Amino acid sequence: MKIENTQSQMRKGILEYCILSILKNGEAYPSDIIEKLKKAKMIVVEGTLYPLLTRLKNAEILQYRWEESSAGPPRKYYSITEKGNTFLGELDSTWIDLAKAVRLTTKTKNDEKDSKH
Amino acid sequence: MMKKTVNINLAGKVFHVNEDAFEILNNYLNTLKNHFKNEESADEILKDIEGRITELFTERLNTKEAVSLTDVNEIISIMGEPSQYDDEIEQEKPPKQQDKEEDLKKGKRRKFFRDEEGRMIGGVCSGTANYFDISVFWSRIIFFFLLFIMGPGAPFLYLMFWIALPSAKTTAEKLEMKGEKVNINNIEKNIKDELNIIENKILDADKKYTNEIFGANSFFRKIVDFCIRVITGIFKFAGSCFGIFCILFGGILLLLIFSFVFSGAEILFQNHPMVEHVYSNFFNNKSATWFSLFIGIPIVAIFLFGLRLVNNTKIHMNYKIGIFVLWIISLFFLLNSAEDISIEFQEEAKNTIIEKIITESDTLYLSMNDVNRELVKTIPGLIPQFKVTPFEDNLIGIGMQLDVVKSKNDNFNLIKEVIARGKNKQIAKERTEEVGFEFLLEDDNLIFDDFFTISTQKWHMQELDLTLEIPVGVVIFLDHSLEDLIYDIKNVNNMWDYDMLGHYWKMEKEGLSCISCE
Repeated sequence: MKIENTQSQMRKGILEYCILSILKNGEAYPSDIIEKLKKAKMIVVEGTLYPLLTRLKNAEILQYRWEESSAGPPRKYYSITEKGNTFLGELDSTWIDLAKAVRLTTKTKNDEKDSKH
Repeated sequence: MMKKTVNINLAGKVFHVNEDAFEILNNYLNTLKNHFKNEESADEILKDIEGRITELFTERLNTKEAVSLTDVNEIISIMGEPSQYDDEIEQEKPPKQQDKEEDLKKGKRRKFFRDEEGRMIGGVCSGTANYFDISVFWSRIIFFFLLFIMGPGAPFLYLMFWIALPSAKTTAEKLEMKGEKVNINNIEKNIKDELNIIENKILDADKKYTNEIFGANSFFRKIVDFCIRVITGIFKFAGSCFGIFCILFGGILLLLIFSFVFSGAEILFQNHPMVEHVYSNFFNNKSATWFSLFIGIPIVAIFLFGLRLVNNTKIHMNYKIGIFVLWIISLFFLLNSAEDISIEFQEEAKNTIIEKIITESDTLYLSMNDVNRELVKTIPGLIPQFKVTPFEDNLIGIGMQLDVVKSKNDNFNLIKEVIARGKNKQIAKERTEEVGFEFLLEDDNLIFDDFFTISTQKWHMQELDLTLEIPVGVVIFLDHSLEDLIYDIKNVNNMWDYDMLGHYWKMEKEGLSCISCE
C-alpha cells in the first residue's frame, strides 16, 4: 500500500467540499479557486480542477455564466446552485462528524500511549 | 539566433509558438485529450484547460512575441500531467451508461464461436451447442440427421461454418461464447438498451448544448456532432432489427438450399418434369456442388451479417477473403460447367424422312390419337418452350406441327422433318435418327400419334415437323382432335387453322378448298 495513494484518497474526499465552501461566499472563476486551493495545498496541479468543476456542473451542483475578459478568452464564473447548497449542507455535517470521529480515535490512541509510558 | 515559429489558435486566440515548443504543447494536449476520452464532457474540460493555457500564455507574452519552450514547460508543470490527476478520473466515471456501453461493446452477450476445446472435427457442433445453450450431444445428433437428409450438403454446410466462424481463442472470447443467452427477450432487451443509450445521448446533448448555446463559439459544429450522434443511434437500432431479419432469412434459405439442391432436386422440380430431366441429365454432382456454393455463400454471408448486427460477432478479415475467394472459384467452375452444357447444343442437324401412305380411298379422315392427347395435355407445369417432356417414365416429344400440301404426283406422302442438336453435326445427325413417329391407317382413317419417341431418352432440343402431301382431287376431313397439331395450313378459303377443323377439304390445283363450308 502506497502512502501517496492514501493521501490522495483523503484529499480527494474533501476537495469537492473545499471547492463548494469557496463558492459558498459568492461566484468565482477557476483561477480564483485554484489560487485558494494552492494556498491551502489542496491541489498541486491546475489540471485537476477543470474536470472536477465540469462534473460538479453536470451534477447540477454548480452553474456558470460567461464573462468577457480583457486578459484572454471569456471566463466561466462558477456559482453554487440551490441543489449545491443542500449538498454542501450535508457535507458540512458529514465533515463535523468526521472531524469528531478522527479527533476521538486519535485521542484514544494518544491516551493509550500516554498511559503506557 | 533564428527560430521557426508556428501560428496556433487556442481558444479563439492566435499565438506564435516556437517550433520546438509547439511540439511539446501539441503532445501535451493530445495526452490530455486521450486521458479524458472516456469522460462524459471531455470536450468541455479540454476547452476549459485550453482557455486557462491561453490566459497563462497571455500573461507571459507581455514583453515578447513568441511562446518559448520554457513557457510551455512551465505551463505544463502548472497544469500538471494527466498521471498527476489520474486517480480522480477512475472514480468519477458515470457508472450506469458506461457499463451498458461496455456490455454492448465487449459483451456479456453471447457470440457465435467455434469451440475448439470441445471439438470432434472443427468445433462447429460444440460451438453451435454453446450458442443455443443445448448439449453438444444434441447438436451432433442434429448434424447426423442432416447428414441423412441432405447427403453431401451437410458436410458442406459444416465446412462453410468452419471457415466462417472464428474459434474462441482468448479467455474473453471463451466467456463470450457462453455469455448471456440469446433469445427473444434478450434481443428485445438489447434493442431497448440501444434505444436507451440513444435517448440518453439525446438528453445529454440537449442539456449540454442548451447550456452552451450562447457561450460556445463552435455551436454549429456541435449541432452537426449532435445530429451525427442521433443518426448513428437510429442506424444502430435499425441495424439490430435488420440483423434479426437477416438471421432468420439467411437461416431459412440456408436450410432450404441445402435440403433441396443436394438430395431433393426432385422435390424442388416436382412441378417441372422437364426442368428436372435437364437438371439430372446435364448437371452432374460436381456442378451441383459449385452451384450450391455459389448460392450458399451469399446466404451464409447474409446470415453472418445478421449475427454481426445483432450480436457484434466479428469475422476475421482472412475468413472473409477466404469465403469470397471460394465464391469466385465456385462462380468460375459454374460458368465452366455451363459452358460444357452449352457445347452439347452447339450444332443443329436436320433429317427429312419421306414415308409413303398407301391407300385406295379418295377421302381421308384425319384425326389424332385422342386418349393419349388428353394425357399429355394434363402433364403439370408443361413449359411450352420444351418440345419434349417426360411422360410416364418415358421422354416423349410433343409440339409437332402438321401441314397439308399438294403432292407432286399421285402419291400420299408423310414427310417428317426432324431437328436435333449436338456437340457437332455428326452427333446431331445421329440424334435426329433417334426420333420416331407413328401413325395408323385404318380404312379411311389416318390417325396420328400425339407424340414422337426418343430412343435415347435424352433431351437434345429435338423437334418434329410433319407435312402431309396429298394428290389433287382427294378430300380430307380435319377432326377437332387435330387442334394442337395443325399449323398454318394454306387454303383457298384463307381460313385460320382452328376454323378449318370439322370441315371437308378438297385438294384442287390451286390448293385446299373447303367443300362443306357455307
